[in-house]
Amino acid sequence: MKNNTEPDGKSSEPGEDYLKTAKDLKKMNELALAIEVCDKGLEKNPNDSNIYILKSQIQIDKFKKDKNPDNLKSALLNLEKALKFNPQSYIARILASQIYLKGKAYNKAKSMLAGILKSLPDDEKASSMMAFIIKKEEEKARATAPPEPEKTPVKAAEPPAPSQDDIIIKNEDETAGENKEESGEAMVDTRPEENNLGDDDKLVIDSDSDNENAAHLEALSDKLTMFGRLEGLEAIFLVDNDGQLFKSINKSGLDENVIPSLVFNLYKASVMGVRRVGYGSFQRGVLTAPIGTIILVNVFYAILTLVIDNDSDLGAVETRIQRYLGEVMQ
Amino acid sequence: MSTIKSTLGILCSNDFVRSGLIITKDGMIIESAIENTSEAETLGAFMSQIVLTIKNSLSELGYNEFTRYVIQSSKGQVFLMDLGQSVMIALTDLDVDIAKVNIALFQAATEIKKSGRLDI
Repeated sequence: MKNNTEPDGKSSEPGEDYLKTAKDLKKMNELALAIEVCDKGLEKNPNDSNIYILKSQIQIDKFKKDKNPDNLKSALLNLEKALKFNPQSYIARILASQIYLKGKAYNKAKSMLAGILKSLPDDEKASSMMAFIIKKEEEKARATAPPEPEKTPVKAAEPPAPSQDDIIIKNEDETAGENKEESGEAMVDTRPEENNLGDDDKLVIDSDSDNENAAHLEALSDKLTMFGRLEGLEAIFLVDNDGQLFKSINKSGLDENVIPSLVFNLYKASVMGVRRVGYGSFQRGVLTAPIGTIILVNVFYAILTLVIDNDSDLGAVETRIQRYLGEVMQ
Repeated sequence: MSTIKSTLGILCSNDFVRSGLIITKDGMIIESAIENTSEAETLGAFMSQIVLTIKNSLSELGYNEFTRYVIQSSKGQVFLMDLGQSVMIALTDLDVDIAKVNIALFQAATEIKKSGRLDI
């Protein structure tokens, strides 16, 4: 019997049918099948960077679903392969940067982002990730600045002059005991054959903790109740950078599917619009519509959305929002 | 078309408004106070994308129109006013008296709507 994941092969582009089929399966959340189709596509078109990218995206989706860091590790390998065949691929570089960032491999992420910003200096996503890394480095520098000579026995697992890019997978048990020695099995060489990423950087993917962005989102969502004091507040939606609703305070029972989707699409269109017309970077959007006044604020790692009653004193509300934002962003 | 042109002219003579234009929902320019045509077309195209995003989402919620959308960016502000079949766009600097811009925009929008020329 013919495998039902085999595309019909009518397209002019070699891997296009596989891509289309895999994309459709991904949309239907049939991730295992989608990967299978990608693998078949890669058998026939081993140099098709687009299939590698799609496969990595599916693996990222799988990671989000089951939190198994092996998926993220495989996704990175596929992105590195994609970059081998298409070194200028924006999406591959951004996704790889995100994985490096998640794994706290800041030097590698930085190197990858620097490459993007060299060709696309105004790129919002790369700029914000770069800003995040710089902030982290500054924090780290501040934390390590005061010398404390008498403190601490030597940390066991510091690798001697690492010359490889390592992914260290920490499972829940392992992360509980921080001093546990890193086993050889847990370290996987992901070094791409032809890239020039930094060598002094490890990628640590922690399977039981959320990434930095998620941690920031959590911290921000904890403070959202502060906005509940706003006059005429109908709802608050915290939407992440993938358009997913992270947290909501929905006093008026607004549609929790349509509003976050509106917010995400409007945010994307606004970011693109102001950049393309030379108006710099998007900071805030205020939409006055029959359902209320929707205020979108770019909080770097998410889109904070406040829906305010149209009859409220918007000037006063905006002033208070500004003040609250100052507090929650600290 | 002269009403629209003169109304846009009055709007842009406001100290706070840098330039403005009126576009159809699909981004075609009806009238523009921007000298550079390609710049106006680019602006129209991207702003119409924003308008479409808003209108599509609002229609899912059972509404056809929005009143206004203001984008604050690092270099200035963009005001979009829904005129039904068309959209008025005004570009301002960052530090402007929002109340005065709003008044100027609403006056211009009312004038244009009154002229009825845009309800195709």
